[in-house]
Amino acid sequence: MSDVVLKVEDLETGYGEVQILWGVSLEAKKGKLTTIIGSNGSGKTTLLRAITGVVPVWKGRVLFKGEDITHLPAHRRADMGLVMVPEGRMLFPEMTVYENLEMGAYTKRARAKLKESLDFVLNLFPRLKERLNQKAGTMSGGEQQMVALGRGLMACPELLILDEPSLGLAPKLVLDVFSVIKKLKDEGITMLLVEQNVHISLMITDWAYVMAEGRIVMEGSGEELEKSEEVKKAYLGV
Amino acid sequence: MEAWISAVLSGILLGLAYGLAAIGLNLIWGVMNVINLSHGAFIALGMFASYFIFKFAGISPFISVFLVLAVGVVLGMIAYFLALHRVILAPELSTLLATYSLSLIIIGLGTFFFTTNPRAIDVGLGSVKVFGAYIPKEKILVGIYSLIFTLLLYLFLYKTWTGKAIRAVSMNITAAKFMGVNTTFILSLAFGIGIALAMVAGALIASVFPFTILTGGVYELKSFVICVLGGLGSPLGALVGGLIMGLLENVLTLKIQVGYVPFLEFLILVIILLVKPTGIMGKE
Repeated sequence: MSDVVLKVEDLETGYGEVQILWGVSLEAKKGKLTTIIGSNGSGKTTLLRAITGVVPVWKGRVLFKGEDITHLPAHRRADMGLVMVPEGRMLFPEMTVYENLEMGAYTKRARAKLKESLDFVLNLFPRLKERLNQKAGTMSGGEQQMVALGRGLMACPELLILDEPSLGLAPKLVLDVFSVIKKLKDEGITMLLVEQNVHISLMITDWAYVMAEGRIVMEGSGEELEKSEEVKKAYLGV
Repeated sequence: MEAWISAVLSGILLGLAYGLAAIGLNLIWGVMNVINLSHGAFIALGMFASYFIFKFAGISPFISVFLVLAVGVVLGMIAYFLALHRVILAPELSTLLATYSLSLIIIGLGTFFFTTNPRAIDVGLGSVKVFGAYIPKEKILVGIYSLIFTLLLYLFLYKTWTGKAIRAVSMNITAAKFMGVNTTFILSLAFGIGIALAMVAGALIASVFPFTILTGGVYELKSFVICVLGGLGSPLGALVGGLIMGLLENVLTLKIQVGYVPFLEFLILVIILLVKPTGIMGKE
């Protein structure tokens, strides 16, 4: 039990009358990188919304650090260390880079470590150092992704959820993002990654789930899944 | 010459108070996407609060205004949960109607209890001579207080955790939730502060001009013109807009009849909307 940070049990949810998730179960273990892959419309984003609390759960449970958080409001989940780096980055565009990072450390437990976290983030992204007073909305996509990742790290996450961090980035920047994820993994940060870049994701992940039509259809280590004929056919285009 | 100096100074001093009321409207729009049609009603409530405290306790409006500020925040937060919370995610028409009904209730009750007889607060501070023109000290205090409250708001929004959370919510409410911001509390607080600024502006203006429960409507309209003038979502723009409005109103009346002033104000509104819809200091 103790090494499972996030446990999702038979989760069902959707929007209005439309059911999207049909009983999803998964686990994210402490210090490990867990990845969810799946094509567009497979329910990955909805799953993350249910886990972070911005979409209500119909059935099933979400357990975080052993506590049932299924019906906790989103901000309370962030308080507990469940931190989301959302798709499309969602920075505060009129705030400076520094203020964005500061907002990352908004919760009480993160505020106490603000200085340390800032050093850690600026070490990871030295380029942000000279950009601290620039408005986040005026930066390029790659730089914004750094700020988004940095903002997530400022929260002292017990689980860092990364929703499509490489989406819309140039190939060179995609590699940068993945090398950062690799670094964070080596630092021992527990992560849940949702990605469309199946090949690279499977290369660095400890454990992966494949989603299709609102269900988990397959799971295994990165290596196993990469060898699997079905995954190859469906996602790697081989 | 003295008349011109007096008009310009009065325009600046009162314009700052108009700007303060408009900043409240602007804040509510910027953070919540709500057009607050109860702004005028709360401006009038601020006037009456100031009046009754002066009449029954003999406390100067320039002291009681801090109490009005505190009461305004609480009242605004209560109003948020009563009228707005359930419709905050609904289309804008719903929130528009919610604040409009709030306005009707306040003005209805106000008319019943306070009647529509004009009232005035005579603080009696006398005048000072500035460049040969006599300016009532109350007007000078109104200007100074408005500046101070604007400055305090700025410090709050840019230097405190709660203030930054308000700005974060105004830019991306979902992201703010992910940061651990209790967005329901922040929305209610933003409405509370917006209402408090309206009431404070009312309390200050009441020390200069007579008023009734219906007077707030006039200042609400001014606030709308000021917001459009300065750019919706830009608090600094609201202050500049307030100054322009105050100056126009005071300087124009030297040459034309008072009755034409609202016409000219709205003419300016239309022109701004046609020429630069984002306002003087607004962004695209």
